[in-house]
Amino acid sequence: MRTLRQIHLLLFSLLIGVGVSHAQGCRTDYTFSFANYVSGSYDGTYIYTSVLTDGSGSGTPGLGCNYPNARHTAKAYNLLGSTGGWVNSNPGYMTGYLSAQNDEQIVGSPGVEYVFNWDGEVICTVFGTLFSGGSDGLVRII
Amino acid sequence: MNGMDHSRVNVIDGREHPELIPDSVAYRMYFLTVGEFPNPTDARKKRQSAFLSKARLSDKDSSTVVRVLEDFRVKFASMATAYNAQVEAAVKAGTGLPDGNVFMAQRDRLVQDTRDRLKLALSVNGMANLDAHIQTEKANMRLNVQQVTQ
Repeated sequence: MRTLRQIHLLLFSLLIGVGVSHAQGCRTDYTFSFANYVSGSYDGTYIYTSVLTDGSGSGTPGLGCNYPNARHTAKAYNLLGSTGGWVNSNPGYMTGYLSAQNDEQIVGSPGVEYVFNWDGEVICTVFGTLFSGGSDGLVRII
Repeated sequence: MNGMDHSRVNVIDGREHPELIPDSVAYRMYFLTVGEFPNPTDARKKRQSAFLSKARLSDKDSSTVVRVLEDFRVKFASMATAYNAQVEAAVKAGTGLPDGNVFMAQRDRLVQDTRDRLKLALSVNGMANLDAHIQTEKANMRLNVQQVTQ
């Protein structure tokens, strides 16, 4: 049987927030669905962490939305130890599909705790933050 | 929030309510995270193997998942690229945007098709272990579905 070492993600201070700013004169009925997934593993040498933010929207912007100028960007933050940072998707239009995947790895030792901070965001240049959720935590191999 | 009416805001934290994370979302996120495009580097293969080891698959089942998810990644990327090109073309032409719900349905269909392929190709225990692992991983997922009416 394959030896399996488990990696535990200790996530603290989970913050899920939604903030949308006002775009004057814009009338719209818009639905979006964004998801975020944070995961980790260990192969006996390296700790691997991954943060994925993806999703898309649907709807019809009305007059005044200036939607051709609106861009959405998915963001994934993955800081493992002192390695990593933000990865951004290519900017997309409001109903486009967005994806940002941020993979990091460091050499890890059992019993040692390593900083693992992550976040996932989707930002609209017109409405501001559409999706935000992240946490500061630790990763420990047991 | 000023001047906006938000209806049907639905933020799901999988750590608190994993049962509310749809399987279609959970499998998609897992497939995208663990799946690799063709000809991955040795480092990417090691990473993938480390993630797959958590599902407690046999070597044969693990190889099958690698192959099926590679196909998923290629098809998913092609689908997303084509859809985004349609959106961009519509914006530049000043015509109506393509229906995002159609894309999401196609995306979820691909996820389901991939699950069906895995069910056929994996051992019974392998599929059960993979499914149990992905259900557990829902605790590390967050989903935000929001209708914005302004």
